[in-house]
Amino acid sequence: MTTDSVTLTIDGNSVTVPKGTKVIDAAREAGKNIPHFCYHPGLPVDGNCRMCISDIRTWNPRAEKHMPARRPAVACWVDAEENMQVFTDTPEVKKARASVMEFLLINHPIDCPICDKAGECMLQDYYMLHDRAPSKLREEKVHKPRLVPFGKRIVYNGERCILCSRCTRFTTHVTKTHELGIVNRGDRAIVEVLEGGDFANAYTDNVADICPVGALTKTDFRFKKRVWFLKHTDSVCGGCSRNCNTVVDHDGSEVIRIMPRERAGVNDWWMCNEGRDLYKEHAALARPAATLRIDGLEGGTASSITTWVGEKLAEYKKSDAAAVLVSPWISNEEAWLLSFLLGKLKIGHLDVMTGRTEGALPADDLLHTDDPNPNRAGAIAAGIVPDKKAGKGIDEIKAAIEAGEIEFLLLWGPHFGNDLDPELLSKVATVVQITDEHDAVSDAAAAVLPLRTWAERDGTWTNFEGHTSRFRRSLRPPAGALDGFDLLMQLCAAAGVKSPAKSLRDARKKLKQDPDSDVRAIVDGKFTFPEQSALYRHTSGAREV
Amino acid sequence: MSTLEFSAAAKERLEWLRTRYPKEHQRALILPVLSMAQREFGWVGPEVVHFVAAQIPVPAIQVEEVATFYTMYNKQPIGRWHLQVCHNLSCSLMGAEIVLEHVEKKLGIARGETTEDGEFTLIGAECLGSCGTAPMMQVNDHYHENLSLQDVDDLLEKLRATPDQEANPADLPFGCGSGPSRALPRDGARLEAGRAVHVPHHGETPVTHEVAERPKEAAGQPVTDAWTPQGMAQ
Ligand code: SF4
Ligand code: SF4
Ligand code: FES
Ligand code: FES
Repeated sequence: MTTDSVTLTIDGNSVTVPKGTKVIDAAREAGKNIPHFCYHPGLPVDGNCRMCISDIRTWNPRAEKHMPARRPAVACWVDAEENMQVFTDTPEVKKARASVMEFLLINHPIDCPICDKAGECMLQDYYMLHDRAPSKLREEKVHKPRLVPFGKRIVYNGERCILCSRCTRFTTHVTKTHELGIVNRGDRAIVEVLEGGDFANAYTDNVADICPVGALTKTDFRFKKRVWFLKHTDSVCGGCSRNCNTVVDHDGSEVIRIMPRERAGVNDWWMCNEGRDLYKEHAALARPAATLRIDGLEGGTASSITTWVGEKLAEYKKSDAAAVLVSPWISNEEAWLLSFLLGKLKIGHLDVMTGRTEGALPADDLLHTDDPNPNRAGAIAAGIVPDKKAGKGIDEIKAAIEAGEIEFLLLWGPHFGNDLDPELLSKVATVVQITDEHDAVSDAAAAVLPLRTWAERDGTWTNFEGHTSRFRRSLRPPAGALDGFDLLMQLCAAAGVKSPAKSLRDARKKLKQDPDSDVRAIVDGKFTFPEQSALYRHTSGAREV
Repeated sequence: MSTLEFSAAAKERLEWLRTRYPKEHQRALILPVLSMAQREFGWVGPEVVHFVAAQIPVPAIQVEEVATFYTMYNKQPIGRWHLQVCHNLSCSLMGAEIVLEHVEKKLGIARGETTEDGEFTLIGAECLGSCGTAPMMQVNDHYHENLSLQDVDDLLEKLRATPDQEANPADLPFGCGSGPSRALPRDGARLEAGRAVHVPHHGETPVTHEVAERPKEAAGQPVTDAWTPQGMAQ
């Protein structure tokens, strides 16, 4: 054992952690969730709520025994020490914890029936787990402002607030924008946006996620859905090349909200407001229909059109007159299979397009990057690059189209408008568009195949720093929309190329991608959280593939 | 931008105060600079909060947090004379409510209000540490103790007749600890304002408290209920 680590016991279980680890984190490591409100792994310790009190006994080397605790200590504040004994569940601790609950609930309005947090509220869950006693209060509860807008996206309810300071620490230490503060004192204390100020940074919605109670609610989610009706699917935000890991909360056919999911090294616990609003863009998408506009072949089915495209591709084997442009929204697996297919067919004019440019925020210090597309890095890594010898890159392809040298152009994915205008495309004899978005080209292309969106299919994306994240299917795809990977398998078959992978899973294995390999070992999902609470799902790490 | 500006004396004091706190803890300047600002501008409204924040500099919200936490910072404009009548326990026993009502009637204002002519602001204050000479009131920086209603009447008249005085730079705050030149009298003497201050100094017998012995740990048996709150023992 090195001097940099300490070994202590948590409820009898021994655990070794680096020196300086807080007891509450050591307990997480040992698989024990110590109840807490103000503690958050992404924020500096504050130690104000006292919910994490535990019986913490230090080892006295001279007396050669553990010193009995004089009083309960807060596990989120105390550093783990060598040979320390921590008890988190003794009758005394439980009693003290129940007292903390009683104190926190003294002035709480308990308006759970109309509170958006109900069902994922730590106060509710912990009350059920640790208190369960009726209120002894006979006096009128303290009244505070209840409908205070904090900027356009957040509404504050002072009566529900337990003054844990998570939100103020977020604006102080994470965004460093310093909008929120706790003003006044004692039972008059409330969270406030400074008079004349605004709460408008790009990450405001995170405060509502980390608020342990329903004091901060999002205008976008207020009164929209009871949380227990939500289904949760692990996903990834495509809003920029950060690839924030998310949870899509939906009802199967419609996304209700998007929440961040803990992923160390990518987005930690946070995501930006723009990423949360992406579902609105998704809901408004005009979806294309399978179309074939070739004389004598009109009106095929999706699979007959796919076969036609595959055969057409094979016709252009080794030809200089075919080119493929790919959107940076393609998944790694699709990109890998597509580049394999084109490699076999020796179609070398292949490149990634600019993709989406609308919604490009300036890159900031926290998360947002300046590329509002998820998978440029992954697509390139998976082989969407011009052939080394004779392949043309996007600019050369454009020049070739201009010069009338390209007869067959395959466009994979949406958002090519920034590279190719319809006039340019009219110079190509056969344009095949495989996309999830209907646009001007869909009206003219020789063939259109409808694709499933990021919310409707499985895949992985790789962010600009090389971290791979996995998104899963949340929504039922509209009738006819094709899974990108399946479609590519069919294209392979039609083009007479044997696919190197039997399935998506197989592809992921062959790609040697383990989207979860760089997920930090300590993730919330491993802890014994109250299972009925949906809240913790949003802090869970990536699960097994 | 704010048009506020500190006086020359305050500016000088501010620079001196800066040297009193480590570089990484300049935030600690909030308290003394706020109280300096209150002296200079009368109250600490939003404009003053931003001004103070810019002086230190810290984010304005941190100044607001401090300014609203302490009741001694005036978040509203106050009159020329700030009457703070103590109405905590000792003073109440000695008739603080009568004093308060008397002042209210006399000035025609309720607690928390300011007279129309801007002369007086009246508030009920919590214990001002002068219980031995209750009832009492603080007027601006000075204590007036052992009040009778006659005293109050006289005092109010006297205050009305007192002209504004030049600000005294010596009144500017020194922050935590003592200032360089204004050590308090060491013999427990009365300060000029009539406030009885007892300053303990070396050589005085310190007050001691009996410390109860803690329960002994039985052999091998950890004392688990050492901190069980009273009345909650199993
Ligand atoms: S609003 Fe929520 S996060 Fe902020 S202090 Fe109150 S309870 Fe904590
Ligand atoms: S920072 Fe980028 S990836 Fe993360 S939520 Fe925002 S848009 Fe999405
Ligand atoms: S979680 Fe430890 S005091 Fe709040
Ligand atoms: S009660 Fe009035 S000074 Fe203490």
